[in-house]
Amino acid sequence: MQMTKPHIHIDWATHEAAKYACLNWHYSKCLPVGKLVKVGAWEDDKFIGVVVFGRGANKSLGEPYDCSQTECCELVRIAMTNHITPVSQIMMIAIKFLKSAHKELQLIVSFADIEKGHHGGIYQATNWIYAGKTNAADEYIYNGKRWHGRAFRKSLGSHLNYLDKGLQIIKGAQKHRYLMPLNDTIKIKVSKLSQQYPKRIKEQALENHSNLEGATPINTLQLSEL
Amino acid sequence: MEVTNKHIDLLIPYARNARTHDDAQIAQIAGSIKEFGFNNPILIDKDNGIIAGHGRVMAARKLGLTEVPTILLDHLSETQRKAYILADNRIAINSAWDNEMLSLELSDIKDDISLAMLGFNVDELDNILSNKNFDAGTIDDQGKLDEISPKYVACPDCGHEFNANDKTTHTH
Repeated sequence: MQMTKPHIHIDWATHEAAKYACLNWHYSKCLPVGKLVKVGAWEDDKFIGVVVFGRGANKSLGEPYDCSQTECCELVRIAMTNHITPVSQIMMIAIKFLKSAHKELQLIVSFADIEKGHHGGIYQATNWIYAGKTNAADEYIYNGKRWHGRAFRKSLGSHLNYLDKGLQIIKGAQKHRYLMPLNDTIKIKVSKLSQQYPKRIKEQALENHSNLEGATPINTLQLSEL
Repeated sequence: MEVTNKHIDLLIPYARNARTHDDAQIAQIAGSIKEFGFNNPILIDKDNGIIAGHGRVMAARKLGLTEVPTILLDHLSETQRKAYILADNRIAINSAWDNEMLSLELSDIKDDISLAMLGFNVDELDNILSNKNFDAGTIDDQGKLDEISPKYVACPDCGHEFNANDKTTHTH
């Protein structure tokens, strides 16, 4: 039985709607703070989620690409409930919608969290430019709980200096960095940074396994696994 | 598989159980057992070691039960037993909710039973039952990403107020 294609509508979302979507439908269970643009999606008038853009974690998000703070933003959340329209389609319409109201923007950056098992499949499906992995940021372990470095430093401020007892600093996980240029000029510039897309963790593990010494699986065995 | 009632004191918790149960969750399990009965037997090995059901045993103790239903799993190797203890806990949390269906089910039963015993917290229940459908917002609801808002601060030397995001507006 073929499912009827719903009418998809993209529009601005309220803060309340974005918060609800992120709390209920995104693995992080939170909506970032700071200036945000929330683009909502509706299928046959039913709210199905948001694509959220923000300034990014720091002022230098666009610096490596010669973009000022007002020319570059970060795609910070895609929080969707059950939907029929492909999420890649929703994301690309949302980007067009954002661009229509923010003419200065030239570049969108997004990150895929390797630690969460993400490789950025949605960005690969929509032809974003893969610009490699980020550097691993410092994270803190205190009282048995793991804290994101920036959040921990911000919440403690100068008190951080008094916590050296029992405070452990570790290197956090790296993230995959993807770029979506919004005009040809920036596209030419960032295309130079393009690298081969990373594979799914499962695919990578299989590849690593096949590179190990030992018997090479015969073709028939590989085909039978498909 | 045969279900056998065993005295609760005979059951030995796994010393290296990696799954934790806080008091609130034990109270939830106890509430569930009280309301619905002990419907999920404890899985044990041949030495009465608990494989799955540590939380249920703790809840049974809280309720003052002396016997609990058990199922003996004697076909697992030592490694399989260790792996299953983890898998039993981990695989279950990989599933997701169909929020629409969940909302319908909760709405059906909410007048006859206390939803508090189902394990959802108050905020979750509010969210699910409200079955929210948001209307579109406006551009005024959005931050302006292609503009830097002025941030006015007072100069500590002369007291003159200036835009800190544009330092050229104030020099000495």
